[in-house]
Amino acid sequence: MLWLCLNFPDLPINIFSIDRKTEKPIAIVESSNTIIAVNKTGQSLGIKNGMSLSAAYGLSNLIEVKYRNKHQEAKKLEEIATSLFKYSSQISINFPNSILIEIGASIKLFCDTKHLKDQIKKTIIELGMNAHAAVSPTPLSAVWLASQQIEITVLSISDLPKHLDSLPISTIGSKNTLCIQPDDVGIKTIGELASVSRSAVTQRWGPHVIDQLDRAFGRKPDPCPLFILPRRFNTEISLNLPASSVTELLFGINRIIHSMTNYLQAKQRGVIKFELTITNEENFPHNFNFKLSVPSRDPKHLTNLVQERLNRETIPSRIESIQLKSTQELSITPSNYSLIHQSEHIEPNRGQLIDQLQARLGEKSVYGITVYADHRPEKSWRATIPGGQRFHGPVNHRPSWLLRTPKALPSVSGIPQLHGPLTILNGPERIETGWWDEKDIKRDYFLALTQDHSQVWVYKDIKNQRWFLHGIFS
Amino acid sequence: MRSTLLKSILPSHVWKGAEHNNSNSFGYVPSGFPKIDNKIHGWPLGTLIEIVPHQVGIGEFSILLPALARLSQDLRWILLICPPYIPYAPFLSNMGVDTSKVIVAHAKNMTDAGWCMEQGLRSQTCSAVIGWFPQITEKIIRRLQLTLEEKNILGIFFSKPITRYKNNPTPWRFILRQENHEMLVEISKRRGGGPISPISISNLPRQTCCGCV
Repeated sequence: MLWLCLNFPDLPINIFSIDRKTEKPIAIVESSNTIIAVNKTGQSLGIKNGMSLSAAYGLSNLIEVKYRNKHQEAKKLEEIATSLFKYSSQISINFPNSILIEIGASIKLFCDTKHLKDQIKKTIIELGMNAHAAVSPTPLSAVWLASQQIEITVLSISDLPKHLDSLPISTIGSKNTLCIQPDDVGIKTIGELASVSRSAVTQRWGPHVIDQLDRAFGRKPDPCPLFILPRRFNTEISLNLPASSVTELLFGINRIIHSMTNYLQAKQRGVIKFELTITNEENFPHNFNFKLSVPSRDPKHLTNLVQERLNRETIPSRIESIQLKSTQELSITPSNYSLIHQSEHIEPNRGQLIDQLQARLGEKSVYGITVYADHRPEKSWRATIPGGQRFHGPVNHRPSWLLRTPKALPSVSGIPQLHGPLTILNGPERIETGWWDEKDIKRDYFLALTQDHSQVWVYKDIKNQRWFLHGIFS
Repeated sequence: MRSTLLKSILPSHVWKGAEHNNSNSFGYVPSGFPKIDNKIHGWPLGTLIEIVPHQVGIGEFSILLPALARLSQDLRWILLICPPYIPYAPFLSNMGVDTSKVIVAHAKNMTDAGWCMEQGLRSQTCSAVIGWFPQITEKIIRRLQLTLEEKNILGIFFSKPITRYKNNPTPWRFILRQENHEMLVEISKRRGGGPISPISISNLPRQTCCGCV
């Protein structure tokens, strides 16, 4: 096993400043009022991690102070981890500010460790983050190396002491609060601690210090709790600047859809139904439900659908948060492509066109048509979902256009009139059916010709002897 | 001698009519009417076609059906945008069109209708995109033509005879009118080649029941 650890030193600050290019110095403080992260502008003013807040105010009074949001940090780590599933299925986010990835099983696929490491770092940069990556055979040693910003690749356990011995002793105790730190007794590095007898270390600092050393050096198994993807995607992001138009919203929507498609990619699924909720200042949520005809995880397509839909609706002003939920997912098996170009390739995209048109024109305005087994002309066709089954109708002479509601025609001495008297060419065809649903008809259909030689389909309702125009032979 | 001289004088981007008399770059779909196919090979693909029927009910839609029946054998869609009435499925089916490939889209205004046609032409999942646009504007036509160019798609729009453009950008324009129980197909504009006398078509598929494809 080979573990790659990504350490995100700027995570506390990244979650606050990702949406905007800010020029103001921002400092993140923890409850004790010590600064734990500073942005670039702040660093250039001389503000450093570990400084007290009052000292920082001494350097600049423009400083914007934010309290550390651990919940958001964990969310962010989850989001990053989701997009890393293409490299490995074993990912752990149990260490602070770090993501551990088991890469040993993926090396062959990505040629070598260096290439894989570069690919992972590239993905991280695309997400707008920066990280220190260290590779090591044990998870804990990878975490230690990365947290000390040592970008190194250690491939065998026997090489570990060489690299770990020089690490400062503070690397270990991140989780445990010890009353007397080992450096109080003059032990500065891990190497020095390792050279002290085990019983002495255990006696003084309890069993877990030795336990940690054993895990790091690979003398003891170290199972990592793995990150498991949630059953459904459900993420909410808050906008730093309230948005009042679709264009302003688009940045956030783009981001949230990208994280959904990453999630779907990791799960090998496509979304077929999802729900977008935008909430404005007054905490009033607006829901938009989306339904696709084919499962998709194409961020461009999904963003397009959302954009078209929002353009059609009136959205509230000053939107502060966007929430995206996948309500139904289906697995997508990537299709095998043939060496020779075939038109079958278009199959997955066929549904995208329908979704796109429906997003803008409305779901009911885009439909397929099918023949339906009924003799009543108005019932022998149906609007369906595009691409349904094909049925064959009875072979009768039928017009190309049907009027949605038959148009009543005046008649002069028994001859129907449509821009002048109609000439009957063919007929009658008696259609008398439909007694079972109380919409029974009794009609005589005729093919008729208007004065200017248009062919129309008219009928005489036997019940009331009136004439109607029902179709046009276009 | 003179033509070679001309060739050497004229810059390469000058459009030379005689050279364009040969077939359309993306081919044609047979119209199913020997009279049309003999003269212009069929309906040209990858270029916008305008059809101007002088009145409704003369077989202006039926004339496309043999071609649509052939195109519906493909996996791609046939997109009908803003048809004036319900495209009657039993009729399409009788004419050999696979109705499971047909999509009908209704748009509220010309902007949406033009967008819809553009999406259809762009998506590469349509074999034919046909629109009924009495209010089409020059700008939209130009846009559609640019989208359609060099694509293996039949792109047609129906307009009204009264529509007048300052400068009609459609490369192909067909005018349909009824005369003595026959439909006259007048090709008022086409890409390459000179004028063609109107083609009269008497046995429109509307008069047969089925099996004409």
